[in-house]
Amino acid sequence: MKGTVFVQHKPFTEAYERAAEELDTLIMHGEEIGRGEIHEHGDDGALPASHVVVWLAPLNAGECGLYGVFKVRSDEDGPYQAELFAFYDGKQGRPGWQSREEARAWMRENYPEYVEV
Amino acid sequence: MEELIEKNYKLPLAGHVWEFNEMRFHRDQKGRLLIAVEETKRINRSVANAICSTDEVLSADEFVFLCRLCRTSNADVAKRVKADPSTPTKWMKRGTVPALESEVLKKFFWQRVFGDEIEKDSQRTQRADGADELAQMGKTAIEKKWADVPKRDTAA
Repeated sequence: MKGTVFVQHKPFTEAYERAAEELDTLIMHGEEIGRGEIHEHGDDGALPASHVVVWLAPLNAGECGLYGVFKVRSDEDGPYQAELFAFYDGKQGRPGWQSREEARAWMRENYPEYVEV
Repeated sequence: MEELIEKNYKLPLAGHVWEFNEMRFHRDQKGRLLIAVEETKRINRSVANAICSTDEVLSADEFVFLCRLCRTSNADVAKRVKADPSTPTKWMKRGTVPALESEVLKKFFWQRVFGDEIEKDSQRTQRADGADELAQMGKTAIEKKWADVPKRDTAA
């Protein structure tokens, strides 16, 4: 990827704070489990974008893994910017899953338009 | 996207509030403030360095932060200090890691975070010719490494 990956910093919420802490780990160690093409107009025009769903297994038994969805913007030369816009870790009442299979099942049920990878 | 630099920025992490000399953000066209992965990585590494450089025992929050950053499970930690697999859970309940184990783990985590970088620096140093080049490399490396050591403020 030519550009970089962002997460929203403010308005500040604890979920976004944890997402910022985990962003690098999620990118470096996570695996793609789903992908969907979206048809929305970007801020800078009608550029294509994809949603990429990434899963990272928990470190310890009984904990939840990390589930993040990135919006990846591309131009004719390929992807140039990504933003983490959904992040679930099972903490503070947020959804969370202990296994990839559970995460996949939730994705399948709630986002049937995503193609499983 | 507009880049912003905020001075003396305070950020809660690993059970403390850290003050960074500079934090880099981006503002998008909707006015939202974003942070790039390079900056989150720099912050995590700076805090890891600060935690591992103190003489204090590791708190439970610091221990969890370092485990997460280094992708190290409780089972891996227990093996490292030759303890029962349930021992790290007991530390977390107690709120601190014992002194001896803290020392061992701080060295282990620091090596995990910075080991590759030190190895690359070492290889570069071996390849360099001439004292001037070495001196410049050393100066640049030191300036880069210690330019923004965060100050630990108060408990978060």
